Amino acid sequence: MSGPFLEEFAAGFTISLVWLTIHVLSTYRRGNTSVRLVSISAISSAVALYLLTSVPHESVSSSLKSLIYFLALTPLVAIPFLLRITVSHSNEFDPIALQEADSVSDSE
Amino acid sequence: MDAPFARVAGAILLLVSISWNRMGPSDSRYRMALVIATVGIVLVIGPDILSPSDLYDRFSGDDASQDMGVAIVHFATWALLLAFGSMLTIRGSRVYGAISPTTLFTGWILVIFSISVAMVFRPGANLLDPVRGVFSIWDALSAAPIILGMISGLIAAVAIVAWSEYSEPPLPPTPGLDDDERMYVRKIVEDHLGGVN
Repeated sequence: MSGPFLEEFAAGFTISLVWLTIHVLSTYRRGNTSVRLVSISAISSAVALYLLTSVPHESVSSSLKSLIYFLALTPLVAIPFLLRITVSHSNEFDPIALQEADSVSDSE
Repeated sequence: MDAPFARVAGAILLLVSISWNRMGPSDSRYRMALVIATVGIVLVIGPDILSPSDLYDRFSGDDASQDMGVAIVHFATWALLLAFGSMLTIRGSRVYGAISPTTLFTGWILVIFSISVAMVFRPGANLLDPVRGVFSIWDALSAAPIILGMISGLIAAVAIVAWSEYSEPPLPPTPGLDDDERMYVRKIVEDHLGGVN
């Protein structure tokens, strides 16, 4: 399932940089998003993708399948968080609880 | 559109939908996030789902673990079950309102089913043999190089963001809200608190 270490490492590295570029471009706001950030992330992604073209297609495909297989651990990781939410007795958005918290903060 | 191109396009749309969803209701792109996510999911699994008879043969074939389409459909199945299960579990719990045992129970059933699909069911010749199909931690560890690459890429991404923020002059302070804006914000907050004053 696994190919040479560096080829799979390069695939992972490129995924993260491309993800950053997609995020920066898709959330772009004129005047708020740094033009320097857009430029640097786009250039670094382009370079990473260019370098990845020299990696055999089979190796990239194999590493993606390994990643998908590894992600099968996600439901197990999610269980403690869901258990905690299930047994939780607090209601963070209860208007009465919010009103009480507000009156306590006012009295302080 | 060939399958690999559709999968890449779908994956990009899914990443865009995550980013748009995180922008919050104040941005118009937030409302499009769910639509974009749906299109992305259709593009990622559509080419394989559209031919179910062929898909079953590929699922039960000897080289199923090497078939990207099979791996993606397997991943999408447990991921969607986990997403809906988690959503129902959170909605059914007391955190966001009154507890709903039915919603909570349905959510947990979906989560447990998701674990079963992810860990026990495994495409291949041993499709219906749960003992042979059990998740192998050693196979999962074969993803170590790509995981290390992604972590390194994440560190590089954080460095790029930090550098671009520190190298630009700070923005001037944001002007305060005028009376109309203040009333508008107050109305939104009051509406969300159910009329609490």
